[in-house]
Amino acid sequence: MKKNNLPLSTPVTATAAVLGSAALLLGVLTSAPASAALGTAPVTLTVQYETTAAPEEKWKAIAKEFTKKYPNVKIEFSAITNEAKGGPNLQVLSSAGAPDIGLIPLNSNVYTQLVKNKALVPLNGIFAADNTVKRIGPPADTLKQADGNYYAAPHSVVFYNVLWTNPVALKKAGVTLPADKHLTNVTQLIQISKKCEKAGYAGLAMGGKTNFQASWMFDAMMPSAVSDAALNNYINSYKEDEKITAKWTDVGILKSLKALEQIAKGGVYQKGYLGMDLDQATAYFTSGKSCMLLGGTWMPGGAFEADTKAGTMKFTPGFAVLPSVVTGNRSTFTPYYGDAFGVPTKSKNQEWALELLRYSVSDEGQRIGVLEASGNFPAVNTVPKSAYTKIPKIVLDVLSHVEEYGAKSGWTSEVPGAYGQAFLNPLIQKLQEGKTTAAQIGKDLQAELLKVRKNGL
Amino acid sequence: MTSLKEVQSKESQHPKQGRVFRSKKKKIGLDGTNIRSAKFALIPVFVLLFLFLGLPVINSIQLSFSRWGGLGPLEPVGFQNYTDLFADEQMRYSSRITVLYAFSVAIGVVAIATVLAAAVSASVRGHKIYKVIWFFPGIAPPTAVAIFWSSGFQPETGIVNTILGKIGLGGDHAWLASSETALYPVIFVGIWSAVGFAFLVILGAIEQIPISVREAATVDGANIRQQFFKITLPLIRPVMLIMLTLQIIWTFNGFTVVWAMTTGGPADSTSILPILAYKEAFRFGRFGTAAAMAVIAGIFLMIIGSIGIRLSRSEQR
Repeated sequence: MKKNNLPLSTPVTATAAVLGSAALLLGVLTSAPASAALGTAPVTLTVQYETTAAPEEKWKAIAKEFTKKYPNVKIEFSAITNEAKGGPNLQVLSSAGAPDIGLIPLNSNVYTQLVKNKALVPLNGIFAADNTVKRIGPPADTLKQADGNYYAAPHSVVFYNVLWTNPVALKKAGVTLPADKHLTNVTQLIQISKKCEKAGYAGLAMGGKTNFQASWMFDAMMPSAVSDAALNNYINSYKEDEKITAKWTDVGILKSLKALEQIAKGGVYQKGYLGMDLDQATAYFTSGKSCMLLGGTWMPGGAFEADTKAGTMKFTPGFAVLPSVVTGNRSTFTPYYGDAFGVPTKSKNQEWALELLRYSVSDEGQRIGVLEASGNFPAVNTVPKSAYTKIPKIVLDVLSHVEEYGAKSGWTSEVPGAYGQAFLNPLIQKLQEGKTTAAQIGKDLQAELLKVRKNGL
Repeated sequence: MTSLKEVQSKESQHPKQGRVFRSKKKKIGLDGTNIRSAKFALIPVFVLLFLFLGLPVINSIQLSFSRWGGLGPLEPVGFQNYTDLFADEQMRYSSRITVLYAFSVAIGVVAIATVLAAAVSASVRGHKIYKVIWFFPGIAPPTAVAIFWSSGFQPETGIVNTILGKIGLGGDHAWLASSETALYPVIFVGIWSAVGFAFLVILGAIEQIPISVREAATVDGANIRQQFFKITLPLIRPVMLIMLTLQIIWTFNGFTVVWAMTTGGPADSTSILPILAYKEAFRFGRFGTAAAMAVIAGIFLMIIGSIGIRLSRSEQR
């Protein structure tokens, strides 16, 4: 049983507590805390990070503190691209030259294969030592594998499906957003975009070319159209031992898909969006050409800050939430814990790697690396809010909104990409182009689900 | 050096070696000892070829008959990957557009390169600078080229649309955003980036034509156009055919430009075979199917290559 509803402040449910306790017990039984095996001999650890600024800063900050504690340890870095982390990195992590700590997106084939082939070191010991399962909270449930082990540690949480707004453009277009930030329905989003267009702006900037944004909106809308139990089943039913109780041809799914079609046909996006990637769409928004941008909480401290410093972004953004497809319901922002870290079994310094990973998910590591160095939210819920000093104000506002209205898991960020994002995205692009129907996508998804259950991933 | 007569004499004395000496090799005067030495000297080459070409090919073929997610042991599945591929609509579509893409680019490249080479060879004004300028795209990194043109084809802000807008042809075409049109900019960029190299090769071939042939044609009253179609083109045809064959193979196997411009989209409309194989392997974890695609594409290209070489040889004769 998986629980996918946040808010982050929600107390751990009885189920999660039982699971957490079991995990702790299992962890204690299966392996002792890694620090027991540490020595003082010189050691060099290699850590992978993605080639964007924030992860690099995070690991550098963590490494600085860690090497202060352990002067015999030297930490080197190995950069990989966004494209490589979910695909070709599998060969790196399973090779003799594997890094000691690898970057492993949880919704990628890399993670699926590494776990299936026992190519990652179980983290139960370090998780048990610091009560990490409980500190991560309900999202830790999805980390636990069928064999009872944890193989990956999330380092931060971000929220995507944030509609960043340009207040200057919206004002010129005569648009007033609802006080609670929630767009009421798809029609309202289309009307706002039309007003923006009349005022000389595109409605919503999005990078349709990149392989993930087309399915983001589905992640936001689908949970508002199905029950929590159904959402749990959609997320877990690809596993052979999970009974299918929710079908992809059900009405909530079809409504969500039809909404995506309606939005595309309604001219909400900028012209040529299917040929633009997220970076291009972001630049489109920050240069003041659109009223809104589909993005996430990493943007204010990243592209927005950089473009403001460069003088190309001349407004302070606001935010809103995508509409629900069911009257009276609300969509939410979508949390992503997915870019986790693990220790490959090919690592030559496993004990030290485990200790460094343990430090990275400790309260101190999370504060130094995630909050202070990269401006993201920590993956654990035990870092006091008073430490959130480096997070941009607007991102804290998004967090307050999440605490008030909750946040539901996105299907494509929870299931393996081969069944989720990689499969769904081209279908949504076809839907946006009017080359398929919501009903057909529902059938395709259902057929794929049965195929995955039969053949595995 | 062993004379031809001596070789023929030895051939009659050694019937087993006679089969070898009946081949054209006897004309270069190799005797039995030299052939053995040559074979011995070739061993390292064959070892290297086996290691770096043979083994990967054998491995790919083996993989194409297996199920493999990228890690762990192979699971033999017989012809399943092939039957799945032949039944797959996306595979059929990707095969069609790959052939269209490869042939369009190759024909475009050779045609434009020939015209440019003929112009430079005819010493049009500024021919020396053109020789450099036209080669520039050929040395630009493919990723940089693709990113440049990907921006260039954007509606409103792209340079192509800006130019079209200024000449009244509309400045907001979104070619890359539609599955109906996305392949055309990709073909254009493929031609643009490859024409420089073909231009140099074909220019070299044109300049190999003896000046006396042209002078004779001029004396006979042939104008420049007639000289181009009746003398230049027939004489450089073997080079053009080789260039065409190579360009088809290179473009067929091309990945970078298409990936950087469209990532195979929208809606898989520009997923040529290398991109489809990449997605199969690294996004879906179906390395067996990807290997089967590679084998099918490899066989197709071997046929194309053989035809190209045969045609080129017959032209040379």
